[in-house]
Amino acid sequence: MVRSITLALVVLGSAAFAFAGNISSPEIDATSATGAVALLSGAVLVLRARRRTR
Amino acid sequence: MPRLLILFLVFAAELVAISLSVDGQNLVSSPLLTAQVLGVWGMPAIRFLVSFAVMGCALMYLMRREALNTFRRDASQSPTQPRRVLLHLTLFGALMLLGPRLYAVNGAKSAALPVAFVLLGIGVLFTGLAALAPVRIWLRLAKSAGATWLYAAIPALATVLLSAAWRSLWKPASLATFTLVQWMLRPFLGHLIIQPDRMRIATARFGVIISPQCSGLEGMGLLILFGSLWLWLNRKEFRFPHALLFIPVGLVTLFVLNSVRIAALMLIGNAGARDIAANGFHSQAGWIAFNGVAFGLCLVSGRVSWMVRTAQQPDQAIAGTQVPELVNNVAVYLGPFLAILAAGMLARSLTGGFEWLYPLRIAAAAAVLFSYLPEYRAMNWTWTWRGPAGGLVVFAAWIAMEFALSGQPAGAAPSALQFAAPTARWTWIAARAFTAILAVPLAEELAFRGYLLRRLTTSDFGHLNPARSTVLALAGSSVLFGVMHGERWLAGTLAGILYSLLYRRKGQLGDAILAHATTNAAIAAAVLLFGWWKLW
Repeated sequence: MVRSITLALVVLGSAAFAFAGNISSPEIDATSATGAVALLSGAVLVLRARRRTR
Repeated sequence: MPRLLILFLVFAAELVAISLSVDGQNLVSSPLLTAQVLGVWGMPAIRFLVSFAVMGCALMYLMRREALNTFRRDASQSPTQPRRVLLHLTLFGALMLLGPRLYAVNGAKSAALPVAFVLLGIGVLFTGLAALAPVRIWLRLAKSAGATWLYAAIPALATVLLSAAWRSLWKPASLATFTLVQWMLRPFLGHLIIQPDRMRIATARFGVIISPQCSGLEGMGLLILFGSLWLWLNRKEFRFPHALLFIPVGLVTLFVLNSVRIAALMLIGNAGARDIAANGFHSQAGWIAFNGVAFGLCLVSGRVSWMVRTAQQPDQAIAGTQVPELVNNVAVYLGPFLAILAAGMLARSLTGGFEWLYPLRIAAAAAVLFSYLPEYRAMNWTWTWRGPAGGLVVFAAWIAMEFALSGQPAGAAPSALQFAAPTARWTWIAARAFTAILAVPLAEELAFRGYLLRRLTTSDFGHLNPARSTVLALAGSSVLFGVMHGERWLAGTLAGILYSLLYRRKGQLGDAILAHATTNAAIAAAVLLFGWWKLW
Protein backbone atom coordinates (compact mmCIF):
# COMPACT_ATOMS: atom_id res chain seq x y z
CA MET A 1 0.00 0.00 0.00
CA VAL A 2 2.67 2.48 1.09
CA ARG A 3 4.83 1.44 -1.86
CA SER A 4 1.92 2.11 -4.27
CA ILE A 5 1.23 5.51 -2.74
CA THR A 6 4.91 6.45 -2.95
CA LEU A 7 5.06 5.28 -6.58
CA ALA A 8 1.93 7.30 -7.37
CA LEU A 9 3.50 10.37 -5.78
CA VAL A 10 6.67 9.93 -7.81
CA VAL A 11 4.55 9.73 -10.97
CA LEU A 12 2.52 12.80 -10.04
CA GLY A 13 5.64 14.80 -9.27
CA SER A 14 7.37 13.66 -12.46
CA ALA A 15 4.27 14.60 -14.45
CA ALA A 16 4.32 18.12 -13.07
CA PHE A 17 8.05 18.36 -13.72
CA ALA A 18 7.70 17.09 -17.31
CA PHE A 19 4.90 19.60 -17.83
CA ALA A 20 7.07 22.38 -16.41
CA GLY A 21 9.64 21.56 -19.08
CA ASN A 22 7.18 22.73 -21.76
CA ILE A 23 6.46 26.18 -20.39
CA SER A 24 8.38 29.32 -19.69
CA SER A 25 7.95 30.09 -16.01
CA PRO A 26 10.17 32.71 -14.35
CA GLU A 27 9.94 31.24 -10.85
CA ILE A 28 11.14 27.87 -12.13
CA ASP A 29 13.87 29.61 -14.16
CA ALA A 30 15.97 26.96 -15.89
CA THR A 31 19.23 28.92 -15.68
CA SER A 32 19.06 28.86 -11.88
CA ALA A 33 17.75 25.29 -11.75
CA THR A 34 21.12 23.53 -11.84
CA GLY A 35 22.53 25.51 -8.93
CA ALA A 36 19.33 25.19 -6.91
CA VAL A 37 19.04 21.43 -7.42
CA ALA A 38 22.76 20.98 -6.64
CA LEU A 39 22.36 23.02 -3.46
CA LEU A 40 19.38 21.00 -2.26
CA SER A 41 20.97 17.65 -3.15
CA GLY A 42 24.20 18.59 -1.38
CA ALA A 43 22.38 19.87 1.68
CA VAL A 44 20.37 16.63 1.90
CA LEU A 45 23.57 14.55 1.59
CA VAL A 46 25.14 16.55 4.42
CA LEU A 47 22.00 16.07 6.53
CA ARG A 48 21.98 12.30 5.98
CA ALA A 49 25.68 12.07 6.83
CA ARG A 50 25.11 14.18 9.94
CA ARG A 51 22.50 11.73 11.19
CA ARG A 52 24.88 8.82 10.67
CA THR A 53 27.75 10.47 12.54
CA ARG A 54 25.63 10.95 15.65
CA MET B 1 44.85 3.15 -19.31
CA PRO B 2 41.72 1.00 -18.70
CA ARG B 3 39.73 -0.02 -21.77
CA LEU B 4 36.52 1.50 -20.43
CA LEU B 5 38.27 4.85 -19.92
CA ILE B 6 39.52 4.83 -23.53
CA LEU B 7 35.99 4.10 -24.78
CA PHE B 8 34.60 6.82 -22.56
CA LEU B 9 37.10 9.29 -24.05
CA VAL B 10 36.06 8.17 -27.56
CA PHE B 11 32.39 8.81 -26.69
CA ALA B 12 33.32 12.21 -25.19
CA ALA B 13 35.21 13.10 -28.39
CA GLU B 14 32.12 12.10 -30.41
CA LEU B 15 30.02 14.39 -28.26
CA VAL B 16 32.43 17.24 -28.95
CA ALA B 17 32.39 16.51 -32.68
CA ILE B 18 28.59 16.33 -32.95
CA SER B 19 28.19 19.50 -30.88
CA LEU B 20 30.52 21.31 -33.28
CA SER B 21 28.89 20.07 -36.46
CA VAL B 22 25.15 19.74 -35.67
CA ASP B 23 22.94 22.52 -34.34
CA GLY B 24 20.61 20.68 -31.94
CA GLN B 25 18.09 23.53 -31.77
CA ASN B 26 17.68 23.67 -35.54
CA LEU B 27 17.61 19.90 -35.80
CA VAL B 28 14.73 19.39 -33.35
CA SER B 29 12.68 22.15 -34.99
CA SER B 30 13.46 20.88 -38.50
CA PRO B 31 10.10 20.62 -40.38
CA LEU B 32 11.40 17.60 -42.26
CA LEU B 33 12.13 15.69 -39.05
CA THR B 34 8.86 16.82 -37.44
CA ALA B 35 6.73 15.80 -40.42
CA GLN B 36 8.35 12.47 -41.22
CA VAL B 37 9.41 11.07 -37.87
CA LEU B 38 8.31 12.99 -34.81
CA GLY B 39 4.70 13.65 -35.85
CA VAL B 40 2.14 13.96 -33.05
CA TRP B 41 3.55 11.20 -30.86
CA GLY B 42 7.24 11.85 -31.47
CA MET B 43 7.86 14.28 -28.64
CA PRO B 44 5.80 12.34 -26.04
CA ALA B 45 7.70 9.22 -27.11
CA ILE B 46 11.04 10.99 -26.65
CA ARG B 47 9.87 12.28 -23.25
CA PHE B 48 8.88 8.71 -22.29
CA LEU B 49 12.26 7.33 -23.36
CA VAL B 50 14.15 10.00 -21.42
CA SER B 51 11.99 9.44 -18.28
CA PHE B 52 12.39 5.68 -18.66
CA ALA B 53 16.17 5.91 -19.05
CA VAL B 54 16.57 8.26 -16.06
CA MET B 55 14.26 6.24 -13.80
CA GLY B 56 15.74 2.93 -14.99
CA CYS B 57 19.31 4.04 -14.25
CA ALA B 58 18.32 5.52 -10.87
CA LEU B 59 16.42 2.37 -9.84
CA MET B 60 19.24 0.11 -10.98
CA TYR B 61 21.71 2.16 -8.94
CA LEU B 62 19.45 2.12 -5.88
CA MET B 63 18.10 -1.44 -6.05
CA ARG B 64 20.58 -3.50 -8.10
CA ARG B 65 23.99 -2.12 -7.17
CA GLU B 66 25.53 -5.62 -7.08
CA ALA B 67 24.39 -6.33 -10.66
CA LEU B 68 25.98 -3.07 -11.81
CA ASN B 69 29.25 -3.96 -10.09
CA THR B 70 29.24 -7.39 -11.76
CA PHE B 71 28.55 -5.71 -15.13
CA ARG B 72 31.44 -3.30 -14.66
CA ARG B 73 33.80 -6.12 -13.68
CA ASP B 74 32.77 -8.32 -16.63
CA ALA B 75 32.87 -5.43 -19.10
CA SER B 76 36.34 -4.29 -18.06
CA GLN B 77 37.67 -7.86 -18.36
CA SER B 78 36.23 -8.56 -21.81
CA PRO B 79 38.50 -7.84 -24.79
CA THR B 80 37.85 -4.89 -27.12
CA GLN B 81 36.12 -5.81 -30.39
CA PRO B 82 37.79 -3.55 -33.01
CA ARG B 83 35.12 -4.39 -35.63
CA ARG B 84 32.32 -3.13 -33.36
CA VAL B 85 34.21 0.06 -32.58
CA LEU B 86 34.89 0.59 -36.30
CA LEU B 87 31.22 0.01 -37.18
CA HIS B 88 30.18 2.42 -34.45
CA LEU B 89 32.58 5.12 -35.71
CA THR B 90 31.43 4.63 -39.33
CA LEU B 91 27.76 5.02 -38.39
CA PHE B 92 28.64 8.02 -36.25
CA GLY B 93 30.45 9.66 -39.19
CA ALA B 94 27.38 9.13 -41.40
CA LEU B 95 25.13 10.60 -38.67
CA MET B 96 27.32 13.72 -38.49
CA LEU B 97 27.18 14.21 -42.26
CA LEU B 98 23.42 13.72 -42.41
CA GLY B 99 22.41 15.90 -39.43
CA PRO B 100 22.99 19.39 -40.90
CA ARG B 101 21.23 18.38 -44.17
CA LEU B 102 17.93 18.03 -42.30
CA TYR B 103 17.74 21.75 -41.52
CA ALA B 104 20.01 23.32 -44.16
CA VAL B 105 18.13 25.91 -46.28
CA ASN B 106 19.40 24.42 -49.53
CA GLY B 107 19.62 20.86 -48.25
CA ALA B 108 17.96 17.84 -49.85
CA LYS B 109 14.27 17.42 -48.96
CA SER B 110 13.92 13.68 -49.43
CA ALA B 111 11.44 12.04 -47.04
CA ALA B 112 13.89 9.18 -46.54
CA LEU B 113 16.46 11.46 -44.90
CA PRO B 114 14.85 11.84 -41.46
CA VAL B 115 14.07 8.12 -41.31
CA ALA B 116 17.69 7.34 -42.20
CA PHE B 117 18.84 9.82 -39.54
CA VAL B 118 16.79 8.17 -36.79
CA LEU B 119 17.88 4.67 -37.86
CA LEU B 120 21.51 5.80 -37.89
CA GLY B 121 21.06 7.28 -34.41
CA ILE B 122 19.70 3.96 -33.13
CA GLY B 123 22.58 2.18 -34.84
CA VAL B 124 25.14 4.49 -33.24
CA LEU B 125 23.60 3.89 -29.82
CA PHE B 126 23.52 0.09 -30.11
CA THR B 127 26.99 -0.29 -31.64
CA GLY B 128 28.30 2.04 -28.91
CA LEU B 129 26.77 -0.21 -26.26
CA ALA B 130 28.19 -3.28 -28.02
CA ALA B 131 31.64 -1.64 -28.03
CA LEU B 132 31.32 -0.98 -24.31
CA ALA B 133 30.50 -4.61 -23.48
CA PRO B 134 29.60 -7.79 -25.43
CA VAL B 135 25.89 -8.50 -25.96
CA ARG B 136 25.91 -11.47 -23.55
CA ILE B 137 27.06 -9.18 -20.70
CA TRP B 138 24.28 -6.70 -21.49
CA LEU B 139 21.78 -9.58 -21.55
CA ARG B 140 23.06 -10.78 -18.17
CA LEU B 141 22.58 -7.28 -16.78
CA ALA B 142 19.04 -7.12 -18.24
CA LYS B 143 18.25 -10.49 -16.65
CA SER B 144 19.56 -9.47 -13.24
CA ALA B 145 17.52 -6.26 -13.42
CA GLY B 146 14.37 -8.35 -12.81
CA ALA B 147 11.26 -6.18 -12.64
CA THR B 148 13.28 -2.95 -12.35
CA TRP B 149 12.53 -2.13 -16.00
CA LEU B 150 8.81 -2.47 -15.36
CA TYR B 151 9.09 -0.22 -12.28
CA ALA B 152 10.77 2.34 -14.52
CA ALA B 153 8.41 1.95 -17.50
CA ILE B 154 5.10 2.34 -15.62
CA PRO B 155 5.91 5.67 -13.95
CA ALA B 156 7.60 6.94 -17.13
CA LEU B 157 4.44 6.23 -19.14
CA ALA B 158 2.19 7.69 -16.45
CA THR B 159 4.43 10.77 -16.31
CA VAL B 160 3.80 11.46 -20.00
CA LEU B 161 0.05 10.82 -19.78
CA LEU B 162 -0.49 12.84 -16.60
CA SER B 163 1.65 15.83 -17.53
CA ALA B 164 -1.20 17.38 -19.53
CA ALA B 165 -3.62 16.93 -16.60
CA TRP B 166 -1.69 19.55 -14.66
CA ARG B 167 -2.85 22.20 -17.10
CA SER B 168 -6.44 21.96 -15.78
CA LEU B 169 -5.21 22.98 -12.30
CA TRP B 170 -3.62 26.19 -13.52
CA LYS B 171 -6.70 28.40 -13.48
CA PRO B 172 -8.01 27.60 -9.97
CA ALA B 173 -4.49 27.75 -8.53
CA SER B 174 -3.76 31.17 -10.04
CA LEU B 175 -7.15 32.47 -8.80
CA ALA B 176 -6.34 31.34 -5.26
CA THR B 177 -2.89 32.98 -5.52
CA PHE B 178 -4.49 36.21 -6.78
CA THR B 179 -6.81 36.34 -3.74
CA LEU B 180 -4.09 35.38 -1.24
CA VAL B 181 -1.68 38.05 -2.52
CA GLN B 182 -4.39 40.73 -2.14
CA TRP B 183 -4.97 39.71 1.50
CA MET B 184 -1.25 39.83 2.21
CA LEU B 185 -0.75 43.25 0.62
CA ARG B 186 -3.76 45.13 2.05
CA PRO B 187 -2.18 45.82 5.49
CA PHE B 188 0.89 47.36 3.80
CA LEU B 189 -0.45 49.06 0.67
CA GLY B 190 -3.58 51.15 1.14
CA HIS B 191 -4.47 51.96 -2.45
CA LEU B 192 -4.31 48.72 -4.36
CA ILE B 193 -5.58 48.62 -7.94
CA ILE B 194 -7.25 45.24 -8.50
CA GLN B 195 -8.08 44.13 -12.06
CA PRO B 196 -9.49 40.57 -11.89
CA ASP B 197 -10.07 40.40 -15.67
CA ARG B 198 -6.31 40.80 -16.22
CA MET B 199 -5.33 39.14 -12.92
CA ARG B 200 -3.40 42.32 -12.19
CA ILE B 201 -2.56 43.81 -8.79
CA ALA B 202 -0.93 47.24 -8.84
CA THR B 203 -0.21 50.48 -7.09
CA ALA B 204 0.49 53.81 -8.76
CA ARG B 205 4.19 52.87 -8.91
CA PHE B 206 4.38 49.12 -9.61
CA GLY B 207 2.18 46.24 -10.68
CA VAL B 208 2.21 42.49 -11.25
CA ILE B 209 0.11 40.19 -13.43
CA ILE B 210 -0.45 36.77 -11.91
CA SER B 211 -0.27 34.53 -14.94
CA PRO B 212 -1.14 30.82 -14.66
CA GLN B 213 2.59 30.00 -14.55
CA CYS B 214 2.88 32.11 -11.39
CA SER B 215 0.60 29.82 -9.40
CA GLY B 216 3.57 27.75 -8.25
CA LEU B 217 2.22 24.40 -9.50
CA GLU B 218 5.54 23.41 -11.04
CA GLY B 219 7.34 23.93 -7.74
CA MET B 220 4.64 21.87 -6.05
CA GLY B 221 5.16 19.09 -8.58
CA LEU B 222 8.87 19.14 -7.85
CA LEU B 223 8.16 19.00 -4.14
CA ILE B 224 5.93 15.92 -4.56
CA LEU B 225 8.74 14.27 -6.50
CA PHE B 226 11.40 15.27 -4.01
CA GLY B 227 9.27 14.40 -0.96
CA SER B 228 8.29 10.97 -2.21
CA LEU B 229 11.89 10.13 -3.10
CA TRP B 230 13.03 11.30 0.35
CA LEU B 231 10.43 9.10 2.04
CA TRP B 232 11.33 6.16 -0.17
CA LEU B 233 15.07 6.43 0.45
CA ASN B 234 14.54 6.75 4.21
CA ARG B 235 11.60 4.34 4.43
CA LYS B 236 13.25 2.28 7.18
CA GLU B 237 13.40 5.33 9.44
CA PHE B 238 9.82 6.56 8.92
CA ARG B 239 6.54 5.29 10.28
CA PHE B 240 3.83 4.91 7.61
CA PRO B 241 1.27 6.19 6.78
CA HIS B 242 2.10 8.97 9.31
CA ALA B 243 5.14 10.16 7.36
CA LEU B 244 3.05 10.74 4.22
CA LEU B 245 1.79 13.90 5.91
CA PHE B 246 5.20 15.27 4.94
CA ILE B 247 3.87 15.84 1.38
CA PRO B 248 0.64 17.87 1.96
CA VAL B 249 2.31 19.99 4.68
CA GLY B 250 5.09 20.83 2.23
CA LEU B 251 2.63 21.60 -0.59
CA VAL B 252 0.53 23.98 1.51
CA THR B 253 3.66 25.73 2.84
CA LEU B 254 5.07 26.13 -0.66
CA PHE B 255 1.77 27.41 -2.06
CA VAL B 256 1.54 30.05 0.68
CA LEU B 257 5.21 30.97 0.25
CA ASN B 258 4.63 31.48 -3.48
CA SER B 259 2.00 34.11 -2.63
CA VAL B 260 4.42 35.63 -0.08
CA ARG B 261 7.00 35.80 -2.89
CA ILE B 262 4.62 37.71 -5.18
CA ALA B 263 3.55 40.03 -2.33
CA ALA B 264 7.22 40.71 -1.48
CA LEU B 265 7.89 41.35 -5.18
CA MET B 266 5.15 44.00 -5.14
CA LEU B 267 6.53 45.61 -1.98
CA ILE B 268 10.10 45.73 -3.37
CA GLY B 269 8.92 47.16 -6.70
CA ASN B 270 6.62 49.66 -5.00
CA ALA B 271 9.51 50.82 -2.79
CA GLY B 272 11.35 51.88 -5.97
CA ALA B 273 13.66 48.90 -6.58
CA ARG B 274 11.92 47.82 -9.81
CA ASP B 275 15.11 46.34 -11.28
CA ILE B 276 15.73 44.10 -8.26
CA ALA B 277 12.06 43.06 -8.12
CA ALA B 278 11.79 42.17 -11.81
CA ASN B 279 15.27 40.81 -12.63
CA GLY B 280 16.71 39.37 -9.42
CA PHE B 281 14.14 38.58 -6.79
CA HIS B 282 11.44 37.34 -9.19
CA SER B 283 13.12 34.13 -10.29
CA GLN B 284 15.53 33.48 -7.41
CA ALA B 285 12.91 33.74 -4.67
CA GLY B 286 11.01 30.79 -6.19
CA TRP B 287 14.01 28.50 -5.91
CA ILE B 288 14.94 29.82 -2.46
CA ALA B 289 11.40 29.05 -1.25
CA PHE B 290 11.44 25.58 -2.83
CA ASN B 291 14.84 24.70 -1.37
CA GLY B 292 13.88 26.13 2.01
CA VAL B 293 10.64 24.12 2.21
CA ALA B 294 12.19 20.90 0.89
CA PHE B 295 15.24 21.03 3.16
CA GLY B 296 13.20 22.30 6.12
CA LEU B 297 10.85 19.32 5.84
CA CYS B 298 13.78 16.88 5.71
CA LEU B 299 15.22 18.50 8.79
CA VAL B 300 11.97 18.58 10.74
CA SER B 301 10.56 15.19 9.67
CA GLY B 302 13.41 13.32 11.38
CA ARG B 303 12.63 15.06 14.67
CA VAL B 304 8.88 14.49 14.83
CA SER B 305 8.63 11.41 17.04
CA TRP B 306 5.32 10.08 15.71
CA MET B 307 6.64 10.19 12.13
CA VAL B 308 9.83 8.19 12.77
CA ARG B 309 10.29 4.64 14.00
CA THR B 310 13.03 5.58 16.47
CA ALA B 311 13.26 9.15 17.64
CA GLN B 312 16.72 10.65 17.29
CA GLN B 313 18.79 11.07 20.39
CA PRO B 314 19.78 14.51 21.56
CA ASP B 315 23.23 15.70 20.57
CA GLN B 316 25.00 14.75 23.78
CA ALA B 317 24.59 13.45 27.28
CA ILE B 318 23.01 10.05 26.70
CA ALA B 319 22.55 8.29 30.03
CA GLY B 320 24.81 10.80 31.69
CA THR B 321 27.86 10.21 29.48
CA GLN B 322 29.43 12.71 27.12
CA VAL B 323 29.47 11.28 23.59
CA PRO B 324 32.11 12.88 21.39
CA GLU B 325 30.57 14.04 18.11
CA LEU B 326 32.19 12.58 15.00
CA VAL B 327 33.16 14.89 12.17
CA ASN B 328 30.69 14.99 9.29
CA ASN B 329 33.05 14.14 6.47
CA VAL B 330 30.47 14.97 3.79
CA ALA B 331 30.10 18.49 5.17
CA VAL B 332 33.88 18.94 5.13
CA TYR B 333 34.00 18.17 1.40
CA LEU B 334 30.70 19.68 0.24
CA GLY B 335 30.37 22.59 2.68
CA PRO B 336 32.38 25.28 0.83
CA PHE B 337 30.71 24.46 -2.50
CA LEU B 338 27.22 24.58 -0.99
CA ALA B 339 28.05 27.85 0.75
CA ILE B 340 29.09 29.37 -2.59
CA LEU B 341 25.88 28.14 -4.27
CA ALA B 342 23.68 29.51 -1.47
CA ALA B 343 25.51 32.86 -1.45
CA GLY B 344 25.14 33.05 -5.24
CA MET B 345 21.36 32.56 -5.04
CA LEU B 346 21.08 35.16 -2.31
CA ALA B 347 23.30 37.64 -4.19
CA ARG B 348 21.29 37.26 -7.40
CA SER B 349 17.98 37.71 -5.59
CA LEU B 350 19.12 40.95 -3.96
CA THR B 351 20.55 42.57 -7.07
CA GLY B 352 19.03 43.54 -10.39
CA GLY B 353 20.68 43.39 -13.79
CA PHE B 354 24.25 43.30 -12.44
CA GLU B 355 25.38 41.13 -9.53
CA TRP B 356 27.08 43.68 -7.27
CA LEU B 357 26.93 41.28 -4.31
CA TYR B 358 29.12 38.66 -6.02
CA PRO B 359 31.75 38.89 -3.19
CA LEU B 360 29.19 37.32 -0.81
CA ARG B 361 30.49 34.01 -2.14
CA ILE B 362 33.95 34.63 -0.68
CA ALA B 363 32.53 35.36 2.77
CA ALA B 364 30.31 32.25 2.66
CA ALA B 365 33.12 29.91 1.52
CA ALA B 366 35.56 31.42 4.05
CA ALA B 367 33.08 30.87 6.90
CA VAL B 368 32.76 27.14 6.10
CA LEU B 369 36.50 26.70 5.51
CA PHE B 370 37.19 28.34 8.86
CA SER B 371 34.67 26.17 10.71
CA TYR B 372 36.37 22.96 9.49
CA LEU B 373 39.94 24.28 9.64
CA PRO B 374 41.39 21.36 11.68
CA GLU B 375 40.00 18.84 9.14
CA TYR B 376 41.44 20.77 6.18
CA ARG B 377 44.81 21.10 7.92
CA ALA B 378 44.94 17.32 8.28
CA MET B 379 44.48 16.78 4.52
CA ASN B 380 47.29 16.20 2.04
CA TRP B 381 47.71 19.40 0.00
CA THR B 382 50.94 18.50 -1.81
CA TRP B 383 51.15 19.18 -5.54
CA THR B 384 53.43 18.72 -8.54
CA TRP B 385 54.17 20.69 -11.72
CA ARG B 386 51.49 18.62 -13.45
CA GLY B 387 48.80 20.70 -11.71
CA PRO B 388 49.56 24.07 -13.36
CA ALA B 389 50.49 22.33 -16.64
CA GLY B 390 47.14 20.51 -16.71
CA GLY B 391 45.38 23.77 -15.91
CA LEU B 392 46.94 25.43 -18.95
CA VAL B 393 45.88 22.50 -21.16
CA VAL B 394 42.30 22.91 -19.92
CA PHE B 395 42.49 26.66 -20.56
CA ALA B 396 43.65 26.07 -24.15
CA ALA B 397 40.84 23.55 -24.73
CA TRP B 398 38.29 25.89 -23.08
CA ILE B 399 39.25 28.81 -25.33
CA ALA B 400 39.36 26.62 -28.45
CA MET B 401 35.84 25.35 -27.73
CA GLU B 402 34.61 28.86 -26.99
CA PHE B 403 35.81 30.05 -30.41
CA ALA B 404 34.46 26.94 -32.15
CA LEU B 405 31.01 26.91 -30.51
CA SER B 406 30.23 30.56 -29.71
CA GLY B 407 32.71 32.57 -31.75
CA GLN B 408 34.89 35.41 -30.53
CA PRO B 409 34.55 35.82 -26.72
CA ALA B 410 35.36 39.55 -26.91
CA GLY B 411 32.64 41.81 -25.55
CA ALA B 412 32.12 44.97 -23.58
CA ALA B 413 32.19 44.86 -19.78
CA PRO B 414 28.70 45.05 -18.20
CA SER B 415 27.43 48.63 -18.42
CA ALA B 416 26.89 48.81 -14.63
CA LEU B 417 30.60 48.14 -14.20
CA GLN B 418 31.67 50.57 -16.91
CA PHE B 419 29.77 53.47 -15.36
CA ALA B 420 30.67 52.65 -11.74
CA ALA B 421 33.19 54.68 -9.74
CA PRO B 422 36.76 53.35 -10.23
CA THR B 423 37.01 52.15 -6.61
CA ALA B 424 33.76 50.20 -6.85
CA ARG B 425 34.71 48.81 -10.28
CA TRP B 426 38.15 47.56 -9.25
CA THR B 427 36.93 46.22 -5.92
CA TRP B 428 34.31 44.15 -7.76
CA ILE B 429 36.85 42.93 -10.35
CA ALA B 430 39.33 41.98 -7.60
CA ALA B 431 36.64 40.10 -5.69
CA ARG B 432 35.46 38.33 -8.86
CA ALA B 433 39.02 37.26 -9.73
CA PHE B 434 39.77 36.21 -6.14
CA THR B 435 36.62 34.04 -6.09
CA ALA B 436 37.44 32.45 -9.45
CA ILE B 437 41.10 31.77 -8.70
CA LEU B 438 40.99 30.74 -5.04
CA ALA B 439 37.53 30.08 -3.60
CA VAL B 440 35.89 28.27 -6.53
CA PRO B 441 38.75 25.83 -7.36
CA LEU B 442 39.09 24.89 -3.69
CA ALA B 443 35.34 24.41 -3.19
CA GLU B 444 34.64 22.64 -6.48
CA GLU B 445 37.62 20.28 -6.30
CA LEU B 446 36.74 19.29 -2.73
CA ALA B 447 33.16 18.62 -3.89
CA PHE B 448 33.57 17.02 -7.33
CA ARG B 449 36.91 15.23 -7.02
CA GLY B 450 37.43 14.85 -3.26
CA TYR B 451 33.83 13.77 -2.61
CA LEU B 452 31.80 12.88 -5.71
CA LEU B 453 34.46 10.97 -7.70
CA ARG B 454 35.15 8.74 -4.69
CA ARG B 455 31.57 8.61 -3.39
CA LEU B 456 30.30 7.31 -6.75
CA THR B 457 32.82 4.48 -6.37
CA THR B 458 32.08 3.52 -2.76
CA SER B 459 29.98 4.75 0.16
CA ASP B 460 33.11 4.68 2.35
CA PHE B 461 34.64 7.42 0.22
CA GLY B 462 36.86 8.79 3.00
CA HIS B 463 39.05 5.71 2.95
CA LEU B 464 39.22 5.24 -0.82
CA ASN B 465 42.51 5.79 -2.61
CA PRO B 466 41.51 8.08 -5.54
CA ALA B 467 43.56 5.92 -7.92
CA ARG B 468 41.01 3.15 -7.30
CA SER B 469 37.99 5.25 -8.27
CA THR B 470 36.08 3.71 -11.19
CA VAL B 471 35.74 4.94 -14.76
CA LEU B 472 31.97 5.24 -14.28
CA ALA B 473 32.54 7.46 -11.25
CA LEU B 474 35.00 9.57 -13.25
CA ALA B 475 32.48 9.92 -16.07
CA GLY B 476 29.54 10.65 -13.76
CA SER B 477 31.35 13.23 -11.63
CA SER B 478 32.81 14.94 -14.72
CA VAL B 479 29.43 15.16 -16.47
CA LEU B 480 27.83 16.65 -13.34
CA PHE B 481 30.72 19.11 -13.11
CA GLY B 482 30.08 20.00 -16.76
CA VAL B 483 26.34 20.47 -16.17
CA MET B 484 27.17 23.03 -13.47
CA HIS B 485 28.77 25.16 -16.21
CA GLY B 486 25.49 25.72 -18.09
CA GLU B 487 25.98 26.41 -21.80
CA ARG B 488 29.66 25.45 -21.48
CA TRP B 489 28.76 21.97 -20.22
CA LEU B 490 30.93 20.22 -22.77
CA ALA B 491 34.07 22.22 -21.95
CA GLY B 492 33.22 21.78 -18.26
CA THR B 493 32.94 18.00 -18.67
CA LEU B 494 36.30 17.78 -20.42
CA ALA B 495 37.87 19.96 -17.72
CA GLY B 496 36.34 17.65 -15.09
CA ILE B 497 37.88 14.59 -16.78
CA LEU B 498 41.34 16.16 -16.82
CA TYR B 499 41.17 17.36 -13.21
CA SER B 500 39.98 13.86 -12.19
CA LEU B 501 42.87 12.19 -14.02
CA LEU B 502 45.31 14.50 -12.24
CA TYR B 503 43.73 13.64 -8.89
CA ARG B 504 43.69 9.91 -9.60
CA ARG B 505 47.34 9.87 -10.69
CA LYS B 506 48.91 10.38 -7.26
CA GLY B 507 45.86 10.93 -5.09
CA GLN B 508 46.84 14.55 -4.50
CA LEU B 509 43.88 16.91 -4.43
CA GLY B 510 46.43 19.75 -4.55
CA ASP B 511 47.16 18.89 -8.20
CA ALA B 512 43.48 19.16 -9.18
CA ILE B 513 43.00 22.39 -7.21
CA LEU B 514 46.10 23.98 -8.69
CA ALA B 515 45.07 22.92 -12.20
CA HIS B 516 41.61 24.42 -11.70
CA ALA B 517 43.09 27.60 -10.21
CA THR B 518 45.51 27.93 -13.15
CA THR B 519 42.66 27.57 -15.67
CA ASN B 520 40.58 30.19 -13.88
CA ALA B 521 43.56 32.54 -13.48
CA ALA B 522 44.30 32.29 -17.21
CA ILE B 523 40.62 32.98 -17.99
CA ALA B 524 40.65 36.00 -15.66
CA ALA B 525 43.81 37.26 -17.38
CA ALA B 526 42.17 36.82 -20.81
CA VAL B 527 39.12 38.78 -19.63
CA LEU B 528 41.16 41.66 -18.25
CA LEU B 529 43.93 41.78 -20.90
CA PHE B 530 41.98 41.06 -24.09
CA GLY B 531 38.51 42.20 -23.02
CA TRP B 532 37.00 38.68 -23.42
CA TRP B 533 34.18 39.53 -21.02
CA LYS B 534 31.87 36.81 -22.35
CA LEU B 535 34.10 34.31 -20.49
CA TRP B 536 32.90 35.79 -17.17
